[in-house]
Order: sequence, then C-alpha cells, then structure tokens
Amino acid sequence: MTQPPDALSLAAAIQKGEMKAEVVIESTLAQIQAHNSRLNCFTQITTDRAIAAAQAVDSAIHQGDDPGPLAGVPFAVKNLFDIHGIPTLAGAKINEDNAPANRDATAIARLTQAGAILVGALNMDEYAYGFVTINSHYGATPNPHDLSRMSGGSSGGSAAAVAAGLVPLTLGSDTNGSIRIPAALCGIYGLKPTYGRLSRAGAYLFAASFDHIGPFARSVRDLAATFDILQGPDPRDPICTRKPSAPTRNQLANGIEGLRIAIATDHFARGMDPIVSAAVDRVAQAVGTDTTLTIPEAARARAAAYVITASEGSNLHLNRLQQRPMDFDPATRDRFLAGAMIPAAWVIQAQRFRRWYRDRVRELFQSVDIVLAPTVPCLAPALDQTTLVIEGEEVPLRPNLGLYTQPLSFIGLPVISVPLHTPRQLPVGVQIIAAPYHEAKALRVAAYLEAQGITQALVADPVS
Amino acid sequence: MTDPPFDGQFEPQVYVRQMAQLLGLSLNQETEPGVIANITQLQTVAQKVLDFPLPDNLEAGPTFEP
Repeated sequence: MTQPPDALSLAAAIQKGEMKAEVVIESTLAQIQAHNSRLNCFTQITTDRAIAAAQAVDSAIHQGDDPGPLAGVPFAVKNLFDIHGIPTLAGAKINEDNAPANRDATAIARLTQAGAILVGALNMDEYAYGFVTINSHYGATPNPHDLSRMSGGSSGGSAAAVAAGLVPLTLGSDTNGSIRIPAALCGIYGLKPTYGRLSRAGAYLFAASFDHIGPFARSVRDLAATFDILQGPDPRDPICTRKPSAPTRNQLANGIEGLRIAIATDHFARGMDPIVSAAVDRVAQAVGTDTTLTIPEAARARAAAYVITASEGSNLHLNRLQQRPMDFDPATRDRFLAGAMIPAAWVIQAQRFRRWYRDRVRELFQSVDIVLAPTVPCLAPALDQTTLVIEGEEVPLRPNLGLYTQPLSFIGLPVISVPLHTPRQLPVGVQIIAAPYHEAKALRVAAYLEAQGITQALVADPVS
Repeated sequence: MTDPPFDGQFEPQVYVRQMAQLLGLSLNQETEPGVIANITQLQTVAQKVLDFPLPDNLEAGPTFEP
C-alpha cells in the first residue's frame, strides 16, 4: 500500500496551505471509525475537541500566525494519560468511576501547544501490568500486520495505531519494556528516553521507580521532533530532570561518525529466534561494528526490576485490591495481590542492587557510546500463545517478552527500538541503547539506519 | 514453657493467607491459587537478587529532596 506521510511532512503541507487541518482530522476520524472495530486501538475518540482544534489551526494559518511545528498533526495517547474532561482509564474498568481529568497531562499539553491535535485514547494492559495488550475489559489490540497475533504491550494500542496508519504519532509509557516491545512487534519506531527526561505529570503511574513516557512514530525525525517538544522541566513530576533541554532533531544529519558502537552479548545474545538474531547482525553490519560488550548481571537486573515493579505496583493499588479485587482484570489481579505481600527486605535489596548495576553500566559507557541489543526474543506471538521456547526450554510467554528490555529500563537508559522488515515476515525490533541523557546519539544511529534503508516503519494495510 | 523451634518449610498457602489478613485483602477460591503461584515465583526471582553480595556502604539509588 502507499505509505502515508510522516507527521512532519503532514505538518509542512498544512503549514503551506496545501492541506486543511480540518480535512486531515476529519479523514483521520473517519479512518478510525471505519477500522477500529477490527483493530481495537482506540478506547475513546475525542471528535469534538479534535475538530475544534483543527479549525483553530486553520484559522491561525489563515491569519498568518505560526501554528507550531506539528500543525494539524493528529496524535493519540495510551489511555493512562489525563485528557481534560475524561476519566483516565489506565486500562481499568475500576477507573471508569473516577472523576474526569481536570487538565491534560503535560505531554499532551506540550504537543497541543506545538499544533498537534489529539484524536483519542488507546488500549493498553490493565494498569500497564503486561506486555501483550490483551485486556479483559476492553479486549485485545491485535497486530495490524497479522490480526491473529499480538501487538505487544502494555502500550499496544499506541504502537498498533501508528502501524495501521491511523495516526502518525502516539504516546505510550514504558516501565519494563512497554514502549519498546509493541514498537518492535508492530514494526515502528519507539523511544523510551532517559528516566526523568520527560514529564510524567498526568500520566497514571505503575511502578514509579521505572515509569517513563515516550513517543511512537514512523520516522526517526518525527521521534526526534516529538522528543524535543516534550522536553523541559515540570514541577508536577518530582523526578523530571532540571537539566536543560537537549535538542536532538538538529543532530540527526550528523551520522554515526565518531560513535563507538558495540553489540551486547551474554544475556542479550541468548534465547532469540534466528530472525531476530539476523536483524541485530544486519544493524551491526550497517554501522560497521563487530565489537561486543557484556553488561554484567543483566539477568539479576531483570529479577530486581521484577520484584520492585510487583511491589510498587501493588502498593499503588492496595486500596482497590482491598475493596474491589474482583473488578481487576484476572491477568493482573493475582500478580498485584501477590506483589502486595512481598517482604520489604527483598525490595530494598533490589533497589540497592539497582545502584550497584547502574554504577557498572556507567563504567561501560566510558568506552562505548551506543550498545545494540534485540528488543524482543521472538516475532509477534499468536494472541492465544502462552509459552515460548528460549534456549530449548519452554517458558511462560508473557514475562519473557521483556527479557531484553527490562534490564535497561531498570536503570533508566535511553533506548530506541528500530524496526526491520523482511518480505513475507513479521517485523522485528533492535534496541539502540545510549548512556543517560544521550538520546541524540541513539537518534543519530537510528536516522543513519533509516537513511541506509536498513530500518523502516511500514504501515500495514488496515483494509486487507 | 517455650514453643518448640520451628524448622518447617516455607508454606506459601499459610503465608498468603496470613499476609492477606494483615493487609486487609480477601482471597477466594478463584484468586488464591494464582496468588500462591505468584508469591512462589517472586520468591525464586527475589532469591537471585538476595544471593548477590553488596557492600554495606551501598545505598539504594532513589533520592528524596526535602
């Protein structure tokens, strides 16, 4: 199918008056209406707000005002972001009873300020506790490339909406892999920035020690432009950095010269499908590296992330677990209940280990700039698949989708999952990992790979 | 008279029932098996972390700004 324009191309056409924002938004809303019953990406569609915003953009252009760098670009958000006037679901039926949000999340406000137009909220695993976007209340969001398969999660609606071509830009959140995993399985770009780099204010938390927000897009420049717009301090998020914003879009053309790139070995080189392994090799070859690097104790890092996530997530929901346990999705309920019972000593030890591990990884980044690793060990699994074979052993599928993502978000490293497509095969993702606050380096590598034709985000045909 | 020393195995069912009482959580036939399975899994996973020696002067990473 013809590939639709990326967000910046669309904005440029609207800014030049070649297209009306209102026409773009009406067409987007019509596409969503036509295909959402099959794709199940959207849980809410903000029609009135979107049309009013589009008219405002067209009016600004007509009057000669600057409508912003994302003028008229439709975007949507994982339904854990506050949208003014709507209860924030976070994938939970329980939250339907909450009061409507009294303002937009900071990330939505910043994109709106830049001219982008919110068209709705997107499906996710309940309270973000999952890697599959199979939700007992709101249904599964299937993979647009093969509707019998998973989109990944927990930001599955955000990845699938972009992969299906419904919108060029979405926001998601990533605690243990929830941006990178669906980006990989749906074959698009996803950025999980440095922990604390982007404000989470107005985004419903899951495990605050690891919660990040970030964008999904079909081009690297869209990812960079969105990241740049979202940067900046925010007193409403206690962990949002006070470091000055570091624009990245103007660095994309710098290429990879001077970057020291290595391939993660050991934990990150075991247990994957040969197609995934071949994708990592293709990326490594394209950037001209055969240097390997071992991130020590990555499996233990994953274990520590697992314990902290279960404990923090359960604490957040303790009163709901006490009062309405049977209103939880069965896929999260038993894990939350068990997580509430974790001894404090386990959690504190895991947090102390986190510091130890962070120090070791900081040392590694003295000698490299970028590390490559697979994103997910397999191609998109069938919606009813429950196990996965890793190194000859049958293991539960759901937790192991985070095999390669969890040890990285554990210490808040910035990571882009870049998409690789092979004819007649489902897409796979490769993680481009940088040192904290060096998103620009990861984006430079992603832009280089995109320019070389190694990675691309192909839209699935939602009509087929 | 003192109680005899307890030298039994960890009993996850007893643990989750007691913890549920302590935390004000209700378990039923539908939830208890899953909770037991999860706490058992968590114990295995946590053991990997607990087995790793850390120096006494290593603080946890999170910071709190007064």
